[in-house]
Amino acid sequence: MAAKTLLPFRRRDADDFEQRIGPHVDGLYRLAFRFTGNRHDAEDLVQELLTRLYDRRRQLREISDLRPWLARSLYNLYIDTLRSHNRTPFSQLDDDETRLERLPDQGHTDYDDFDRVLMQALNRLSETHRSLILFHDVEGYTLPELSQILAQPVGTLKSRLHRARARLRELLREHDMEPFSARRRVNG
Amino acid sequence: MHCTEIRNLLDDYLDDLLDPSRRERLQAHLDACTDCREELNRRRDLQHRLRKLPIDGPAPGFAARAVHQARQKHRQRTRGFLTGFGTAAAAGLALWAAVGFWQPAEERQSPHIRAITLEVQAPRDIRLAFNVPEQYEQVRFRLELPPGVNLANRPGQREIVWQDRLEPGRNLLTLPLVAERDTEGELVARIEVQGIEKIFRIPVRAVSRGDGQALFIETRTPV
Repeated sequence: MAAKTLLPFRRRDADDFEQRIGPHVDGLYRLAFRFTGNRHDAEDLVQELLTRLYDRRRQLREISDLRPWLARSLYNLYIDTLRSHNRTPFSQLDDDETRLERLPDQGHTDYDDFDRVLMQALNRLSETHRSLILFHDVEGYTLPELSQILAQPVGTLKSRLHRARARLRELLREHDMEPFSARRRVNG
Repeated sequence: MHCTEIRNLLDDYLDDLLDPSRRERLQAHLDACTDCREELNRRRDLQHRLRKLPIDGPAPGFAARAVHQARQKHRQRTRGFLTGFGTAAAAGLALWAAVGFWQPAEERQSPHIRAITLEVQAPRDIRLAFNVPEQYEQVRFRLELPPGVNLANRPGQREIVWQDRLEPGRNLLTLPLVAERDTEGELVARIEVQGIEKIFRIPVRAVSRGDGQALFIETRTPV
């Protein structure tokens, strides 16, 4: 017969975990959706993260600013998932213009034509550039927050973000889909 | 400022990262240059579209369910670990002590109990096992720590009181103990059911360089 476990701390720990993590779950899901591109994988990613975090719930009490810390944890887990999915060597993830196959997109998001082209262009970026744009321009993380999340100096991230945006604009121009350019064509 | 220089600054302008003098000079150029103004508008429009990219929300109740499942999975793993530990205990790692079945109030230090030895500032999990022959509901537990010894997850808390159920066979309690200095004392466990209390006193010794290794405490013989 399995032993019964007497856990005097369990209720308090569980409540504490829920109170600290609960308010961040929606934000983590949003981020996960941006990275994975569909609800199913986003939910799986967040679930796996929470399961791992529950084992470290005492450590969570010592973290004053959870938002960037959790975003970093989620991002690392996503990269691990991507690596195992692609069997990609670790170092290649940091290379610009490395092509990675994303997790399969089974989402049902109602994108308009421009959104669809924009997503395709984002998915053609290197993982480094794509992540920066998703974090900063899509989800609104600040450069100081990203410095914590990605463990890079703000100046480095700023330069990379500029290059990432330039590359995205270039890819959109290939589709003749820069937002204002379409309007200009119509007017011209 | 030339157009090339302006283009390099447009992102910083949109991100509000330019110092006032540069911002003023850039603004003056934009007022006079249609091409750069259109480029700025394209970039602003793109930023707006990125910020507004649609998202599929999670399934209803996902957040609460995810937290609950994280807790459930942890419990399943913990149960597995403790069962495995019991096997190791039977192989000789265990230190046996504690409860048999309920007799009128008594207090004793079982001859089966060895002292717990801790190394100062080195947290260790102490596992107490209470063996009972039948189920007891609404059992009141009270643990008292010796001076200088803390729970790693509850620093400063000298006493823990809670209610739980004892099930037939082995009931395990894990205490993450950490000694803050050299000390000697007793860990006192009081277990009360139906108005009857049993008290167990486990000697605890903390030394700066400990040799504590046998940290699993259980009753083998009914007391």
